[in-house]
Amino acid sequence: MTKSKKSTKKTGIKAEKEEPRIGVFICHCGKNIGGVIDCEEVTNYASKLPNVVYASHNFYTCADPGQNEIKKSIKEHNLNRVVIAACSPKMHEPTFRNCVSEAGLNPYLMEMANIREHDSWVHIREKEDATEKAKDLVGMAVAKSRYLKPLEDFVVPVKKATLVIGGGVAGCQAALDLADMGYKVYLIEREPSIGGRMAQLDKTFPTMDCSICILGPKLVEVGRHKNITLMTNTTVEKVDGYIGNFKVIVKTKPKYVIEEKCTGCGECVDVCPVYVPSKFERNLKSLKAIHAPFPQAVPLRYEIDTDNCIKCYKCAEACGDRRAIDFTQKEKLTKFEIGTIIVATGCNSFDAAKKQEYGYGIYDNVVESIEFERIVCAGGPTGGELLRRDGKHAKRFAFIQCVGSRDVTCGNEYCSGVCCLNSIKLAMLIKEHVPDAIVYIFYIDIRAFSKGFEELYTRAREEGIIFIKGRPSHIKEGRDKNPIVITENVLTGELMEVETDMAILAVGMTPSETAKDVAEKLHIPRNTNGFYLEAHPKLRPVDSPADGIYLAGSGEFPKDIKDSVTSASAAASRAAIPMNKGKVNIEGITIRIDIEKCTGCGSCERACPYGAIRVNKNTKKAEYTVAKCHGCGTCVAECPFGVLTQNHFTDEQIMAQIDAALSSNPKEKVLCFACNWCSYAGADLAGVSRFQYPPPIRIIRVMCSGRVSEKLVLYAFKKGAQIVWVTGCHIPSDCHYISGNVLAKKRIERLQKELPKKANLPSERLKLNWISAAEGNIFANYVKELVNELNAINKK
Amino acid sequence: MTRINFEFRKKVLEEIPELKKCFQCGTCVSSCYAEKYIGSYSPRKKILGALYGDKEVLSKELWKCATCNACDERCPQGVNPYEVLTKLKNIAVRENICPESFREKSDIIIETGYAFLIDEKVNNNRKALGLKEIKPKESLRFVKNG
Amino acid sequence: MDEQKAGNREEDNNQKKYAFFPGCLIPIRLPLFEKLSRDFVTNLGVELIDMDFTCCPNYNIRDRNRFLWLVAAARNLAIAERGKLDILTLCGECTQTLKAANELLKDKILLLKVNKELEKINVQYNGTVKIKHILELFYESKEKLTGFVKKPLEALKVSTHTGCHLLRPSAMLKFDDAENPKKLDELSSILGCQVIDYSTKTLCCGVAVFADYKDSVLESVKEKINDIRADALIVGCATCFLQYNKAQLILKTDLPVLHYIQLLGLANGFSLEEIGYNSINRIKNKAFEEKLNITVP
Repeated sequence: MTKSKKSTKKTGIKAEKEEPRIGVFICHCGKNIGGVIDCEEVTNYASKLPNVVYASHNFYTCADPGQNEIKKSIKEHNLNRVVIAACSPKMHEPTFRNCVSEAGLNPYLMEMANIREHDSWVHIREKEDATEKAKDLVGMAVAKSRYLKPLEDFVVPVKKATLVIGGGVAGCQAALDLADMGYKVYLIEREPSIGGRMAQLDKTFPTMDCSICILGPKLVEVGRHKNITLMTNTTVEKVDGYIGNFKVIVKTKPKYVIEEKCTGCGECVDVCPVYVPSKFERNLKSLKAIHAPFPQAVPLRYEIDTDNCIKCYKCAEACGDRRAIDFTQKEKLTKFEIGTIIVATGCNSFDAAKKQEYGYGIYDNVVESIEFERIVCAGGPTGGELLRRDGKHAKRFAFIQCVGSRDVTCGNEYCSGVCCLNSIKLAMLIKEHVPDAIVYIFYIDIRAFSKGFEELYTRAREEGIIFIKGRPSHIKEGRDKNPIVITENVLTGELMEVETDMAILAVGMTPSETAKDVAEKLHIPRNTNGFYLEAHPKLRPVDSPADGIYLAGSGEFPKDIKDSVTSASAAASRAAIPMNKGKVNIEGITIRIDIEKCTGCGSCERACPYGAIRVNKNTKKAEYTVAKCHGCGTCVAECPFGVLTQNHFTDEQIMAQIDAALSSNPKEKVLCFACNWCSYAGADLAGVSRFQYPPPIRIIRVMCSGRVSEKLVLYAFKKGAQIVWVTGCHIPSDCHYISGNVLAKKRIERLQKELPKKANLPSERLKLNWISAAEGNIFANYVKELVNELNAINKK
Repeated sequence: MTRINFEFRKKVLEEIPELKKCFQCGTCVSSCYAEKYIGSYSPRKKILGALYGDKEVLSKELWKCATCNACDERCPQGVNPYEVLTKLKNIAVRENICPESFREKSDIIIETGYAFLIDEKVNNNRKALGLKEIKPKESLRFVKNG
Repeated sequence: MDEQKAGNREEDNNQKKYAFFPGCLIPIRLPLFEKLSRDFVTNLGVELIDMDFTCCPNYNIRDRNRFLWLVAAARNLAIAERGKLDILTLCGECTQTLKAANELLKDKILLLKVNKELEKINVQYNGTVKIKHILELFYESKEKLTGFVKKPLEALKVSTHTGCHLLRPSAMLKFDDAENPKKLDELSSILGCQVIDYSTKTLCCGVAVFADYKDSVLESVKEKINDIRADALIVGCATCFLQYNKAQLILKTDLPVLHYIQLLGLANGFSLEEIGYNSINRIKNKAFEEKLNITVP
C-alpha cells in the first residue's frame, strides 16, 4: 500500500508500538567537525549502542547526497528513529525534520546531537576529549530518541495584515511594499509625524540629493495608500499571540486637534502665547505650543504640546466655527489583529554630553551632527546660514569623528559606519554655502565602504577640506567662545591646537530609547548595545528570532538610507511569506494532562503567561487550549503532582539524556540545562566565535529554563553529577515565554537552599545564571570557571 | 627603514598583551602632560615602538611620565597606556635602564617601609602635636627576594 | 553626570570605624595635616584604628617591578582585612594604589600567586577590603560637615584642584567626574566659600617629573596660576600642596595654596597660625589674610 507524503506525515510508521530501530548519522561538516573529532570512532561507538541498527558518517549531511543517504537508510534498514550528530539543531533541525518526513518518518522522531557548535568548534586543540565528548553527546541523543513519539504539527491561519512599528524611511518602505502587495498595514509612529531621522537631514550622501525632497513623496504615499492605516502619536501598548495571530493594543496620545476638521490654516498659531523648543529642530528653534511638526509632515495637522499648554483657549477661539480644537480628547486604545510585525524603531544620536571632554552642552559653539544638519538646511532654524550661537557667521569648522563610537569608555565598541560619509557630506555643504570656509575633519580612519562613497571622499579632498588623522582628546574654549580642538596629528607626530568658530561632533548612532520597551513587549532579544538581535547574523538578517516578527532599518544596527530601505524591503518580503501562504505550521511541542491525577490546584494556571492551561471551576480539573500554548514546559515543572507532560521534552526523555551523559565518569562532568532561545544559543555563539572552553560539560536542551524541574535536577545529582548548572534568558524580561525564567529562578533558588537536605550536597553545587544569545564569551568563560571549581572539588 | 624585530616584539607582547588593542588614534598624546610641557614623549609612539619590537623604546625617556593618568582616562580602546608604560619601565629596569635617582627612591621604601627617611626632627614635630612616633620598618624587605 | 562614574556606593556609607592609612608624606613631612584629619574625622563620629601599614607602595616601586608592588600593596590590604576593617586614606596616591591593587587581585589566579608570597610573612588577602579617601568620607557626611562651620568663609573666593591620583582613572576610582570634578568645589562651598571654576582645573601639578624637568613643570604651574582668578587655591592632595608652594616660590607668584583640611580648620574657627599657615604655607598673601577677617553681613 503506497502512502502519500501527506498521510505519512499524519500516521507515520507505527513507531509507538515498535521496538526502536535507531539510525545514527555522524557528519564531518568538512573539516569543521572531522578536523577535530574522529568521526569513524564515534560511528563505531554509536553502532554498538543498544537499539542502534545502523550507523554511518558523511561529509556534508545537510547537502543532497547526505540527505539522500538518510532517506535511503530509513527505507533500507526500516529505521523508526534517526539521530543526526552534526551542527546545532538551531541551524538544521528544520532541514533534517523535512528530510526524514520525506522518507515517511514523523519529523519528531529525529533528534540531533550538537557536535559542532558545542564540541568540535570549542575544543579545537583537545581532539581526544572532543571525540569522547561526541560519543557522550551521540549517546544522549540516542537515549532520548528511544522515547520519542510521533507528533503532529498544527496549522494555524495567518491574517493578511501587518503592524509596522516606526515611521522612519525603513518603516515607510516596508509599509509601502506590503501595502502594494495587497496586504493591510497598520503603521504606528510615536512622533506626531512620520519621517524619522531622514526628514531632519538636509542632503543625503553620496549623491547630495535633498533629503526631504526624496522622502516627501514616500511619506505622502504612505498617508494616502488605501491599504495603510497610519496612526501617529501612537505606541505599542500590548502584544499577545503568535505568528499569524497577533493581538495588538496600541495607545494614541491626544493631540487636542481633530485631524479631520483641521484645515491647516495656522490662525491658532498666531494667537498662541506659549513657546516650546522644537524637538525636530533639535531645540535650535522655538515653536508655539500649537504647531505643525514641520512643513512636510505627514499627516500635516496641527497638534498641541500638552505638557506646556497653559489652557488659555485662545487657539480654540481663533479656530471658531471650525471647531477643530478639542481639549477633552483623551488617550485612545485601539485593538487589532495582525499576522506579522515589522519593527522599524530606528536610531538616535549618541548623547554627546557623555563625552564631557568635548564640551557639548557646556561650550556655546560645539554642536553635534543632526543639529548641524538643521543649521545647514535652508528650511531650518537659521535659514541655511551657518550661524553660531552669538549670531555671527562661522568660517572655520572642525568635525570630530567617532564621538561615542569605537569607544569602550562609553560602552560603544562598534563603528556606526555612516558618520564618516555624513561628515564629508556636511563638509561639502559648508563649502557650497561658504566657499572660503576652512573645514577640518579629525578622524581615526575614513570609512567609505559603499557605492559612491570613496568618490565623494576624493571630491572632498579636491574641494580643499583638510583631513587630519588624529582623535582629538578634548576641546577648550578660547576668546569669543571659539572652540579650540586639541589633537595629535598622528601623521606628523606633533600636537595641534586648532582654533575654530564651530566644532561639530560626529556622534555615533544608538538604538531609539523605545527599543527596550518594544523588545520587552514583543519578547525579542537585543544585543549588549541595545540593538535588536537578528535570527542569524548572515543568513537571516531581517528576521527576529521570534516567528512572525521582522526587523527593518537602524533598530538592528546603524545604517545609511540605502541599507535601511534595502532591509525594509527585505523584511516586507519575509513577512509576506507566511501571509502569502495564508497558514503556518505550529510545532507540535505541546502538553498532555493525566486527568486522573489532577487535583485542580492551579499551579499550572498560575505558571502559564498565555492562559493556555486553566482549571475548570466546575470540574476542578485542568483544561488546555492547544493554539495558545507556546511549548515552554513551565507548567510541567510547576505541577507538584507530576500530572503534566511536555511532548518531545518528557521527563523520561530528559532523564534518559541525563543517564547517557553521566554513564561514564559522572564526577568529572558538569551537567547543564540550557534554554533553546538564549543560553543554548549563547553556547552556539561561543562555538561560532570559536571561544574555547574545557570539554567536561554536557548540555541538555530544553525549550525554556522554566521546564527544569526539581525532579530533573535531583536526578542528575543522583546519577553522580557534582555540579548541575541551570541557565536561561536574562531576568526579568528576556524570556521567550515571558515568565518561564522568573519561575525557574524561584524554583531553583529554593532547591539551592534545600540541596544539603535533598541531595546531601552544599548549595553551591547547583548553579543558576542567565546568559543571552549574544553572550557567547560569557558562556565560555563561565564553563571555564565551573570546570576549575569541579577540578578543585575532585582534588579534595 | 622601519623593520619589525619579531623576537623582542614577542617578548614584549607576552608581558603586555593589551598593546595589541591600540589603533594609534593619538588621543593619549594630546592628553599627555609630558608631551605638552616636556616634549617628545608620545605614549602612542612608545606603544608603536613596542609593537614593532623596537628596543629603543626602553630608555630613560619613559620616566618623563608625570603619572597623571590622563591617557588611561581617555583611551577609547582600553589599552591603558599608563599601565603599558609602567610595564615597559619594568622591562627597562631589568635591563638596567633607568634614571639614577630612581633606584634610590624605591630602595628607601623597601628598606625602611616608608617613602621618605625618618629623622629625629620628624618625631619631635609629631610629639609636639600629640602624635605617636614612627620608626622605619623592615616589613617590606621580604619583597626584595621575590 | 554619570552616577556610576561619580561614585556613591550606598553600602559604604554609615561606617563608624576604619583602619587609618595616613601614608608617608603626611605623617613625615606634614604631621599637622595628620592631626587635623584625625580630629575632624573623630568629630564626625568615626573611629580610626592604627595598624601596621607601610608605604602603599607608591609608583616608584610600581615602575620598578609591578608584581612586587602588588605584593606590597596586598600586604597592606591583608593587614586591614585581618583587623576586619576598611581603609581610610589621606593621600590620593595611596588611594589609587590600593584600589588598583584591589581591582587586579579580583583575578583569582593572580591572588593565589600574591598570597604565596605573602605566606612568607604569615598574612593572606581575601579581597574583602574597601578603600575610602578622607574627601569621600567628608562628601558622604556633607550635612554633618555644615555643622562644623563656626566661621563661614563667605568673603573668600576659591578655586580647587583635586589632584590626578584621586581622579583618574575615574572608572576605577569612582571619586568624581574626571573631566569636570565638582566634589571639592561642593566641599568648599559648604564652608561658605565662593567657588570659581577655571579651564585648567584637571591639569597635573607635575611633581613626579619636577626634579628632572624643572622649567617645563614651572611652565605648567604658571599656566594654572595665571588661569585662577580666586583668592586661594584649595587642593585635595598633600603632594600637590607642597608642589604648588615650592613652584610659586621660584615663579614668585603669590596665590596662597591651602589643603582642604586647612580650609576646614579655618571654617571651624581655627586661626591661620593653628592651621599651619605661618609654618607650612610658603606663599603668603595679605589680601587673602584680610579676607578671612571680614564678616559678610
